Amino acid sequence: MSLTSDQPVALTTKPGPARDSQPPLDPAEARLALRNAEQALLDDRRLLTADELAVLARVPDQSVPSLAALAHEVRLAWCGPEVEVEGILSVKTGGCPEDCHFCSQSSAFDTPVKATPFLDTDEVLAAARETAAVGASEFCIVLAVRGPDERTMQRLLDLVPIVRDETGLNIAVSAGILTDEQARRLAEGGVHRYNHNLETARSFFPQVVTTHTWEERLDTCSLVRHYGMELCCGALLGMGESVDQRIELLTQLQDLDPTEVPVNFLNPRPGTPLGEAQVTGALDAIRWIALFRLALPSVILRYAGGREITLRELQALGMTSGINALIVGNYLTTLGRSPEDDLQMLADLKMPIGALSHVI
Amino acid sequence: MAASDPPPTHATPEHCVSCGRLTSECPGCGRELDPPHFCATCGTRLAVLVKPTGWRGRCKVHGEVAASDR
Repeated sequence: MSLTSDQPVALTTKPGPARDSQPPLDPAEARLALRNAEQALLDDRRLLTADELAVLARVPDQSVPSLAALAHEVRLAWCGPEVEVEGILSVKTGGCPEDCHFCSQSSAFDTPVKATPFLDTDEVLAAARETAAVGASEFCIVLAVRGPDERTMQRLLDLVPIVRDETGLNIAVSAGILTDEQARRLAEGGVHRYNHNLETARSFFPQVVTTHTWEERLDTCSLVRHYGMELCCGALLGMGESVDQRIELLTQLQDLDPTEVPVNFLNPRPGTPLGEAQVTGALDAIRWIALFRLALPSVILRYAGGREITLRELQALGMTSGINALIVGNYLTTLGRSPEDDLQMLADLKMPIGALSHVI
Repeated sequence: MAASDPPPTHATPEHCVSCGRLTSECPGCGRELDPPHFCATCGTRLAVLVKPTGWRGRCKVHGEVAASDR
């Protein structure tokens, strides 16, 4: 049977650019929307509403540089000039029982990633020392798990103070869904920041994950905040979500009020349901980095996975579009560009490196 | 076979480091910014450790077969 144009196509297998329900603004409308946003964020110092963000999302492509310039100004006004540098390490790779459709570490999909057990302490320490040597202030220990079992909890509670004390780095952990008691113990054990991404809007989440709910993620995020850890809660753009759903996610993040928001762009992973997805365009990525900053003026907005393949030569432009933090070097299972290139980029932009915390 | 021909060898086949298939059967499936995931010698899946500043791939048959300090 041959394919015909009227055959239904599963939305999650080949997402393209974010679908928009409305046409772009004309240039005059775009200028007005930008002036209104500037007034709100720089003069009135208030958050933008969902309606205001939805209008800004519709500025035409030629206005994206103006949107980015405003986002940069907002970032400087709300957060200052410093950029926070972080390294991440997968200490337990693959074999995850969850079915996040973007993830090469899910056991639900046949991907090239081989499952490996918890790394030795010496290996983690070596990676942390190398991360500190390139100027990072934060080191995130990441595990591919639904949530930590007791053995994993014990390993983490042993590891965190060792790495912190040996390197002077702030230690973040990403170990999935937490119980109340686990969140308390990690906070008491010295975890500085806990990463748990919402990934996408509540309305889109069931299309990319079926083994747990968006609400379960939200519950863990709330526990992290309740027990006094800084919350790192990010997004993954380019999975087929619409413009409206991206705005929905931004308002959900506004409500959650995390310290840090890592912005990931889908890097399609072979063997996953999103393995052949279209990569987000560079200008679209800049537009959404800027919109994240305008929606979340005080957060640490971090460049995360996918920036190399999405932005290519425009990575410096992202740094002047609202970003004030980056993951340096490689990611969990994929490679990034060299730390030296990123540090040179920051030096060229005269952006100082520093540790950041949430600006109230 | 002429007497001067080299003896037949069973040279180790080359495998695609991204999918593990024989290179003669793989059109080139490697993706940008992916470390090797299969042993080029035997096609066995590698245990890959990716660190912020480097990576290495270990084959259970051939040991550490690929590494980079970045």
